[in-house]
Amino acid sequence: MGKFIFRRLLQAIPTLFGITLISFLLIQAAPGDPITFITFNPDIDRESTEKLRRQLGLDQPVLVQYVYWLIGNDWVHIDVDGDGEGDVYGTRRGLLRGDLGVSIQHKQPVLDLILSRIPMTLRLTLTALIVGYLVGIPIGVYSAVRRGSGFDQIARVLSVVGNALPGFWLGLIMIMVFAVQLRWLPTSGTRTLGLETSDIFDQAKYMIMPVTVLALGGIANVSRFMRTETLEVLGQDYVRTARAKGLTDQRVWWGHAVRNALIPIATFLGPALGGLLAGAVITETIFAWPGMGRLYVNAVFQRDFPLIMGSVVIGAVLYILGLILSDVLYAVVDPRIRLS
Amino acid sequence: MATVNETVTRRPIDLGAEQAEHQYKIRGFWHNAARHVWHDRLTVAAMVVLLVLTAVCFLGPPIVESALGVDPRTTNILDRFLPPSEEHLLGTDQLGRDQLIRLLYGGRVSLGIAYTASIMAISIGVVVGIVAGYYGGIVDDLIIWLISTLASIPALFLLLIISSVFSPGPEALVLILGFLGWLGAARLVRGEVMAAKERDYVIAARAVGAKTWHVMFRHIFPNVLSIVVILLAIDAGILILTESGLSFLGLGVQPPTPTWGNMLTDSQTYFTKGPHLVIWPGLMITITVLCFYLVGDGLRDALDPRSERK
Repeated sequence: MGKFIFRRLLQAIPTLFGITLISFLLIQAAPGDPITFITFNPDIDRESTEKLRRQLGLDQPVLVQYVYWLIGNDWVHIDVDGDGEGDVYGTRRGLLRGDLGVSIQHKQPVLDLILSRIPMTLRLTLTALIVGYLVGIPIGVYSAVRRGSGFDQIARVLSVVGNALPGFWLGLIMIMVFAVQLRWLPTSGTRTLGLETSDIFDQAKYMIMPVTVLALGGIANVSRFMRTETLEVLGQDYVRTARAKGLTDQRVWWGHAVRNALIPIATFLGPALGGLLAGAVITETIFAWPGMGRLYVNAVFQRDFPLIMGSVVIGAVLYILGLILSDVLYAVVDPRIRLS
Repeated sequence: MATVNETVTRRPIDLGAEQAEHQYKIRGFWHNAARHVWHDRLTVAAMVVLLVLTAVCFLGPPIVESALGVDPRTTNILDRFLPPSEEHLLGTDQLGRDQLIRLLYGGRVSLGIAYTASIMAISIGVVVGIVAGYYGGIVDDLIIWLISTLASIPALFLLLIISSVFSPGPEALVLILGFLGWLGAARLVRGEVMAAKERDYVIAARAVGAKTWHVMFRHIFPNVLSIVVILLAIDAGILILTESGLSFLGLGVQPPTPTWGNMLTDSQTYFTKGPHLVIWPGLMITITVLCFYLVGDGLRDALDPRSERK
């Protein structure tokens, strides 16, 4: 097991390099650069913009910039005033030494910014994940057990509809109904201002709508998948044997059938995490939730290169870790699977 | 009518099943699939809705414009947030533009993007998948590495970068979505090709000296055609969702060109004044995506030889 995880982590390294290179090249192709955003001041002269550009290393060829971003530029003499001689050493230490640079827009280290936002994003996505499984699994199992019943029909229709609903629209409709019209729930944010920070009920109230929006796709997929798996298991010999022994329906379903049907659902975890990260971008924007997604969208709008790159790296790392975790989990719940 | 004698020896129901089996065998694969779809009422209904919607969005606007005397660009500050009325069937938006006509034009853009981008994404996926599966070896390794790398970036992250870089019009957005959407299709096609290339008739074709591209597209491609048809429908649904999400964030198609997504961009600020502006565009998205998914599911039932025959 340890060996397997180690190898998967090793395999992830070239993937991560690929991701950073691809995103870096893409960002560099952008027409506007961050300088134009910093220097909105019309009084600034051309010379100082050039100086700033050289200072930030934006005058270098793309691949050089990528290398600086990767391993830092503290070994390079930067020619700030443009006279052909190096003046100062760079200050960046590069991704490989744990430095993601400084956000141009926030003027804070990118890593700190992202790390401060991750807990909020995880609070949303993990809750949505748990809700997705907790609601989806029973619906799927019950659908399969009562195949063809009214419940089954409704659940199947809802699972297709749940997949087709755009999350942002559902969010808007929920805000309109529950916050604006009925005034049951707060429109956006994470807690009531001025209230104790640790008031859990208050914070839970703020989470209801974003979590519902995020969890909906998960509920739809999990229930649909679970239904198929359970139907398959229910047709197998050992289930018939269990029934022949005279076990109650409940014991057969929950003790024998569901336990095996649950196995494949472990593989859902990785892709689901990726989907949730993407979903969080939109959900956080609608509900003004101070997480990674919103930070990222703002960075994209402001052309904040270091922050964009940092978010992509951290997002990809989280996603890859999720994929590995789901493989490991698959092996843990099913002893027949050998990791090799 | 069967004679009495026959009914005694063979029960009519068996006769029916046998005949059906015989019929099934003499008809071709696509013929059977078409019959299967035809008897699947939900799928047919979804197809009809999609066809009608497409026709209305692409052909309807001039008719609606002349019949109601509205057009999508005229703004009128006095007519902002009008509720649905006889003159404006679905009311007006925050700039006093008629919502119905904007929905139709928006549908043109959204559906157009979905159809073309899905055709493009699947075409790339098919070509890449066939090449990877057919050649195997280092080509396959490289392609798989590329796919798994691209697939490890949460897709929306990548899309946001690209669409902010190119701030695309509808045509550029098609290219972007097409170039990013082929990963899943390529994987599926590759798997299918790997199985198909070991079949006897393919080996035979190669043995008699058929050119590589001939083997690929005449002998192997038909094997993946059913996957392609299913993926086209499901992908179009996913693309509508992606495009409208991007446009909603302000990173997709830019106003004043309407799409169902960007019609919702500012709707957050006028919940109380114009709920009709929040409801309609989203409803159109949901219905369209739902129909694409239903058609995809129906086609899967009809085309997948493993699914049970009805």
